[in-house]
Amino acid sequence: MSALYLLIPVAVAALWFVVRYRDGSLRRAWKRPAPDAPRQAPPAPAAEEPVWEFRPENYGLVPDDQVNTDLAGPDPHLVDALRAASSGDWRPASALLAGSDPEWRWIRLVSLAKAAAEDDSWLRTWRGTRPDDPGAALVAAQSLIELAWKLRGAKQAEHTDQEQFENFHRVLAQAPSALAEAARIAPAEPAPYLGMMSVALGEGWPHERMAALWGEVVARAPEHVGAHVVALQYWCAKWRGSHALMYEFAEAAAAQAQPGSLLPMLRLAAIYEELIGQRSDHPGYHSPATTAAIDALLVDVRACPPEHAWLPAARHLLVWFLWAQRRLPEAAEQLRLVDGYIGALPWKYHSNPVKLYSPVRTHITLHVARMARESA
Amino acid sequence: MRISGRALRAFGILAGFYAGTVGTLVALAAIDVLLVLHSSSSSPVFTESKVIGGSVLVAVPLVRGLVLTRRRHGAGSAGVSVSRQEQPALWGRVLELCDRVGVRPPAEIRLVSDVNAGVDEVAHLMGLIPGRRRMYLGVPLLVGLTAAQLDAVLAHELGHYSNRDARLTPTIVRGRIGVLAVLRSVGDGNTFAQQVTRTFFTWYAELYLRTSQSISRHQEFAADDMAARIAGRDNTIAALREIPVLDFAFDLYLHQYVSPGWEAGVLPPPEEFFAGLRALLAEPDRRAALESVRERSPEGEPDPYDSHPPLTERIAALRLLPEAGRAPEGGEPALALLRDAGRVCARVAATALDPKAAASKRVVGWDELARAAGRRMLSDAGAPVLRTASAAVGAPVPDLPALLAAIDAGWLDIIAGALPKSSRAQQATGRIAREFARTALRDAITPLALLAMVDAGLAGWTNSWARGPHLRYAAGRADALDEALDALVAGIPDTRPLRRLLSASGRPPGHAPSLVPTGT
Repeated sequence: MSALYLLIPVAVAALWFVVRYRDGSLRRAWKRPAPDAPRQAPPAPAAEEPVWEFRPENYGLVPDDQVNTDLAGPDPHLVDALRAASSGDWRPASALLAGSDPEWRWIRLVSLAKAAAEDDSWLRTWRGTRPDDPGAALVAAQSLIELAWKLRGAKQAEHTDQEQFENFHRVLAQAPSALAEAARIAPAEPAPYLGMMSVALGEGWPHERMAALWGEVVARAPEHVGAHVVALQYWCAKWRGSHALMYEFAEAAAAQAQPGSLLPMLRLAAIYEELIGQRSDHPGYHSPATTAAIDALLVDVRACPPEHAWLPAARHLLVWFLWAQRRLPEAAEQLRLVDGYIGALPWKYHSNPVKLYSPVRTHITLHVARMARESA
Repeated sequence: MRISGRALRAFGILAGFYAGTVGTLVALAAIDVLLVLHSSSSSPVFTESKVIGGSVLVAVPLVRGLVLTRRRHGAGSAGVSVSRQEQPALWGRVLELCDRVGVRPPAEIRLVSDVNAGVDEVAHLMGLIPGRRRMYLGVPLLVGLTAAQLDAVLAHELGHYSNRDARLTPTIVRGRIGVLAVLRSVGDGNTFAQQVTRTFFTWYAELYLRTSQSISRHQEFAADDMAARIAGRDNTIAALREIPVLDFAFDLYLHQYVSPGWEAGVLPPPEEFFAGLRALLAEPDRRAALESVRERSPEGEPDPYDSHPPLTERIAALRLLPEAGRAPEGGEPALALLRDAGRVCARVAATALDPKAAASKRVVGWDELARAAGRRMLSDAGAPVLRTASAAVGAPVPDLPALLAAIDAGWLDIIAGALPKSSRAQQATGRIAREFARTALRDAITPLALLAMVDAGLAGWTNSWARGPHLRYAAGRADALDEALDALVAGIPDTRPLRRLLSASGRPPGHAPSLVPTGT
């Protein structure tokens, strides 16, 4: 008897197939070019396409399974350095860190440190060969922090067991001396102090101690976006602060910043931190303060130099907030500039970032395509 | 009268159970005999061997159940029997209670070592002819209850004998145990004959259990009523609530103080055995923790065949009683009823231990016991890592200095990797797996390091009734040990801080035979 129930989904599938075949949409799908055909000139399909048949490549976008979830935007040099490191060659990593500005150095350092937390053989060779290379000291120290968080796991404290905490604290406790060593080699470099803020987060430093550390950071890099993003985590409610302290920090940073610094993105990061898990019709996404924060960042993004390391991350936040406010043409404009990479907020907080990104992208793209057809 | 009728019914069912079981066995034997005598007429379906085999399969669990039903359950001769001359106050109390409850006094009072009190009777002919009555009284109850609370407990137990069902009670209870045993033993086997037997016996057993259940429960309520009338309502409630606490406290006491000493080959002096429990109960912090156990009310899933109603129901029933009766008395323990309590308790304590094993133990004071037990616990906890290290290195690693030498020689990750792993650590790879293993190694070495600190006089075990035996460190040594252990398994392992710490007393750790370096 129970075997008969199996026939129900089969029958539904058959019915769907017949209906789709008769209206012609399946025949059209089969005639599409292969995905690896040259991706040029994405003329929007002439007819309205149902959501379930949305194919990103038809709109000049990257298919779901090819989206990069590690990076916020393209960084071929970093990809090369990571590939070389995994085959034991530390030299590209060394050259890359030495040749980066402080914003890019922090982002690339974290990626290299994450790789070294999995396998540090190349790092040990590097340290052994060039003990005074500031990049090597930085990766060695930061990799302890990344390693500690990997040992802990990303779950909240109540889902983290004794073994995870013990490993986390033991490895994290080794980071301060390694960070001090990196700071000794390159005293003007802000990165060791950014690493120290992760230690402050993990060890639960009191506010005064964190404030003193923050003084060291701004003394070296007053408008460092990466530093502000790390500090925002410390001040948010789920770590050592509160919603009020988080907004206070974000607002102070955004208000005092030079145009084009991208620090106004902190406001959106803070709002998302508070609204995470809420639907896009939550009033928090539609308040005047949120609208003002979005508009301020849109202005700042236009003023920002195109090589700024955090520009893709700022655009990702804009895609999300503009989509939440149903300002879809504006969202589409930002989306087109960053599609293909989703290693940024809000996507990276999701356990499966593509699952969060893909429907938002589909919604924006189909809507804009329909508007284009209607106005034509 | 209602209970009496039900008791007779239960008794009848139990008798039927015996008769039915024996009858079934006789019938099976008769069939087998007939079959053997007329073997020529056996049909192809019921071959001789099949039928005899089937009857044996059916008979075995029945015989087993029958034997179990007939076995007498009781405390036997546990504990120490105290005579009227020895303990006039205790006997006087019990005799007075018997008089007020209206029951025949026991012929014997035995003091036992567990948290228990009861009266049993060796009745004859399935409980129809009265026999010798014995009262059991656990010394922990004398330590933990007031005299009025003890009266409530004893009055409850005596209350079971206050009406005429009582003589049948042991049989009915024994019957419950036996019927459950049969139920369990017919529970397996899948031949047709076994299934038929199971169906029949399950039905019959449930009939019996249901009938006897309500008798048992009614008796408990009636006995509580009796206790409240004699000892006062509030004293009875207090006693009911106190006994689970005492039970837990006594377990805790044995587990934290006595057993660790026993493992280490030492015993407290017999006269100190129950004094320890009293000291534990007297600690305000312990008291608070124990009370919280009581608040949590340890009743889990109710056992459908448990003869006692749940404690909460019993207390609720008592609360409904109209008058409070005797007022609660001051906190002096019922132990005051005993003459020469120390010596008597020592005798009872001696019966709690296996005399042959106890003879090989050293009798020491509590502080010495904490030291010996703590040292033993540390060396037991440190042994596995030494075994693992010996196997991994391929040479004996008998102690901490040898293990430190092995780590200096580059064996750290090999030894750490050979330790048992959690499932998460098993799934990890690369550097993460290495750190999981190193943390495990740090944990495994900790008892060895503590042992070395104890031996070097940098830490020592102290006894505490408030929080259990524990280690006390010389100033600053606890942090120093933490740092030294961290250094031992850090990115670049360093054994020097631990060596320095342990040699701070002036006793340098010895050096082990040199090990083959591995270069890792």
